[in-house]
Amino acid sequence: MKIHLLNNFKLPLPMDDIYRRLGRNSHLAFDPRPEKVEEIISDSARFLCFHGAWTALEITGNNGETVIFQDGTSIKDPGTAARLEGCNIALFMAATAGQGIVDARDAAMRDGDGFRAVILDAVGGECADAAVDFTEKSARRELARRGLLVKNHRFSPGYGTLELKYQQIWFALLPLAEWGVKLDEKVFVMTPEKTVTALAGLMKRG
Amino acid sequence: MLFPSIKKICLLDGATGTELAAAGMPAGVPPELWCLDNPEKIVGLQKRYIAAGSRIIYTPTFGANRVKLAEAGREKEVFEINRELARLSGQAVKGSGALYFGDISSAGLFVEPFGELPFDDMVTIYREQIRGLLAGGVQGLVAETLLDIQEARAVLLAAKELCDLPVFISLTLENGDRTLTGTLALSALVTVQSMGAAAFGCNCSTGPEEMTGVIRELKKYASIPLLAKPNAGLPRLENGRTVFSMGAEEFAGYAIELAKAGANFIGGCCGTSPEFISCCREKLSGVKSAAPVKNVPLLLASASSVCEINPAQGIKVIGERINPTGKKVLQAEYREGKLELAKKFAAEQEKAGADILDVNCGVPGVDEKVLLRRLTGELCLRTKLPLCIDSSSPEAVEAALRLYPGRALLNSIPAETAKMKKLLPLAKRYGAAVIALPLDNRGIPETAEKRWHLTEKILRYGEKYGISRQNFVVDVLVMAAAADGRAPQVTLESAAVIQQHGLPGVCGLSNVSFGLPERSAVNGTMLSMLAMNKLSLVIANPSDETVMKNLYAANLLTGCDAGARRYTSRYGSGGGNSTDPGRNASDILSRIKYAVIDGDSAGMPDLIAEALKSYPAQEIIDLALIPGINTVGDYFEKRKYFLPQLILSADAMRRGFDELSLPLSVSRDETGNHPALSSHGSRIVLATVEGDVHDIGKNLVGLMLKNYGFEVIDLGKNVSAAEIIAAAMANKADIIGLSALMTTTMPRMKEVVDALRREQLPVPVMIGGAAVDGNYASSIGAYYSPDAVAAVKLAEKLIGRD
Repeated sequence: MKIHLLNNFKLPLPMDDIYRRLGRNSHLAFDPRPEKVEEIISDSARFLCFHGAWTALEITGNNGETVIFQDGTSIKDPGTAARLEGCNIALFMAATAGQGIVDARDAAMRDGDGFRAVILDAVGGECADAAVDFTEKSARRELARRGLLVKNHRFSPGYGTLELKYQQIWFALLPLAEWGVKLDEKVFVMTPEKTVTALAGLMKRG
Repeated sequence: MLFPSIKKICLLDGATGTELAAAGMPAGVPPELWCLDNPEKIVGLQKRYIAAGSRIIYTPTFGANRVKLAEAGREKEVFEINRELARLSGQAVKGSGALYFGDISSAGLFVEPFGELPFDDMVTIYREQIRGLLAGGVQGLVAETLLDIQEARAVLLAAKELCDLPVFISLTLENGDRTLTGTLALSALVTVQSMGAAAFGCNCSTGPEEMTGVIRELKKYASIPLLAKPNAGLPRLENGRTVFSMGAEEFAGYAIELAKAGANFIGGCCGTSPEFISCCREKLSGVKSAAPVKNVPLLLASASSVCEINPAQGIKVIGERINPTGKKVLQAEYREGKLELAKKFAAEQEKAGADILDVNCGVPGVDEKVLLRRLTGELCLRTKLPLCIDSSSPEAVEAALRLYPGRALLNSIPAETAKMKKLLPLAKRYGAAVIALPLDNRGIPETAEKRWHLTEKILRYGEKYGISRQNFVVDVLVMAAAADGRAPQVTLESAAVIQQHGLPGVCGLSNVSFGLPERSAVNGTMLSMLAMNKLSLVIANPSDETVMKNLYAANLLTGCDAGARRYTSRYGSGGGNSTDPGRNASDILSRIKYAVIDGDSAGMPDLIAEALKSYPAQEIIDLALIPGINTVGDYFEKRKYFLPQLILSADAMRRGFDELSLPLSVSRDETGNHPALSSHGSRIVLATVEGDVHDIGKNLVGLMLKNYGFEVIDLGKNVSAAEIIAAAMANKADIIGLSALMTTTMPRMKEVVDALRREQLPVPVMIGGAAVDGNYASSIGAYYSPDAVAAVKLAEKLIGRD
């Protein structure tokens, strides 16, 4: 199974999403110092380093409780089984916005600059989402011309009922370690935290 | 060769990948290789498209570039594979009158300056593929599903080197009018049409409804035909089969809308079939094809923005500061190969209101070709503004223009034959707009009439090289008034002549005040005078506020700023609370209160010092600082303020307390708290629960609680229930605060609450985080706070201080 790598790609900063995450989503909002927020957001681009990767595994079994993949790994979660129902193939994706943005945020917090820290955190979070979005769409495009279509929106370990421990599967499949990503062997949390893993089901054009 | 007339809508083909899958292509197989092994399938499919009405079909070579073929180990057969697949399409169209275009697509690599692959390598990859397609007899080329403007430019340059066939460029748009990598559709149109593309448009990703809006907007600026190949809606699972949400009839209905919006070539992408094309043929018969725009205004583009040069829109600013002339520090940096100062100038000028950035690297001892190319690439990553490439070296100009991912302005081409012969072909090849400089080797003409004569010479040469006059801006030649008192008048006359001939004018404004005192005043006045002659561009320092005020005022007074919107946006009062009747500039306590509200930490020391002359410290706290932060909390709850502003205000309040610490004769305790605030002595233990590493929200809550007098013991992240309980007992905590971001870590909060019950510790627990809500909190016996402000209020309530 081929691993598709998207290394060191560039993305425009998702400004609307960043402001929304910071809470500026009301028509009543005003900002006495908009330039201060904009300056930090613009400056944050130098801390970002995007990587993404994806691969597709055949689904060899799905009994509504457990999904089994071609390499023998499995996910025991009825929610995942329901989402992958009817799918022949599972798309495993991961992307990161890099360690730099997390380090910058933590440095700001240590310096007592909560203003800067909260903005950098928002940038990192939304950029990680944008990176996995980019990865998924790259995968969709490539797969569509091979007659494979993504069934529904991606979902991630740690949300819904899909336990974090299954991040081990992503860590084994995709070159996350090469990006400097680490997986905590006890709680299965990935660092840098602005790293996203996701799964989606693929079906053949009928 | 025949090129389809654009008076009627020309139908393209529909989906290939999904149709081949339906015809038995196994999942995961490269379609190109499967077609070679099953030629009758692709020929059959293409004949069905032609029978349905397609007038142009695409060869099945979408992924037949070296990079994609390498996945199957066939990268050495690029030429043969493309040639053979093209020949198959040739068989399909034989005798039908339809055409077959060589299909090219993204190699999935990131091209400089936005990625690591050298631009010329991308050109080479496409050149290899195009050679094979040409050998297969294609009658045109189409590059589709492109992600990035550099892919489009690489295809066009590769094609131009090999043939004169028409080249269609089609992007895939994911976010409205942009690609995933941020290329703006309009930027791509401006760029590729100036480089000689035969048609431009978009395909895939969206259905026809979404694509119609994009086509409609592009049409206003399209001097070439537009194409649209949308998907048949979105895929879904129905009775175990994958179907697309849109049927053929519905799709064809939208095809009419696409035609009305301005599409000249229409086809389908994923989910479409010959039936879709047949329905389109039926619905579109009799529908006229809207012609491309004849007189498109002069447009420049970066990858992500477009700048229109139009006298009716007023004067635009070309920022002049990235020019080493007279700047020793910049010269020194260039000699060392450093670009930091240049990038800083770019950011400052963009912030100050420049519309375009002039880029000049001409310093003796520097390899201008290398440096200008590097700087052009770096600036593309730093600014969204289009660039003006400023060099007299044809080698440096070519290096920069070849890389530049957009449509640049070339500064400049004089009326000297040798230079025109070298520079005009470069402008043509890379689609640059040109500043015509009406001087020659005899010097600068002394009259407006002679300057116009030289301008006409440049325009004539431009026509010879295929650059029409609409692509030129003319320099009105500003000279130093101190050296020649008549010079400004000649400049004004030149500007009038250029305007009469319908061309945009540009000037290097600062020249007029060279050697004079109060340069800003002279520059600003000259600008206003030139505005009367409808100057379009000024090369100036946008950080010179006098010049900018004159510019905005001139644009307003010459009718180029409807409703004074731009003027008032720049110079009007900002901030929703600036007219707050509570603001009293003469009352120091009011000023301190509003310094908190405005988040003005820097101004706080002086304000506190002034207030202490009249008020005791505790009154300043009670009558200014606390009311200020309470107002901020109110703004936050009403969603007038958002999170960063809350923090700025908290910082300003804390600064105020720091300034009051000596008058209060106390200092911060070891937790960083102000005893003035912590007199109630309440303690809260904060932690992100075990298995969770997200802590920014918890940290902000901690910050706010400290400001309100709580002693905060922050245990950090990924903290077990046992550690939390132990810390609460050891510190005699009044409250425990827990944070969790994920649904899978939320249950740890219940563990803490249950453990407290077992230990019979009556410590209230408050919880927060993206995953939790009030219902969950109630279910586990905890209290919920949605944000930092609410957390403070809740904490105060829990200790009975509300």
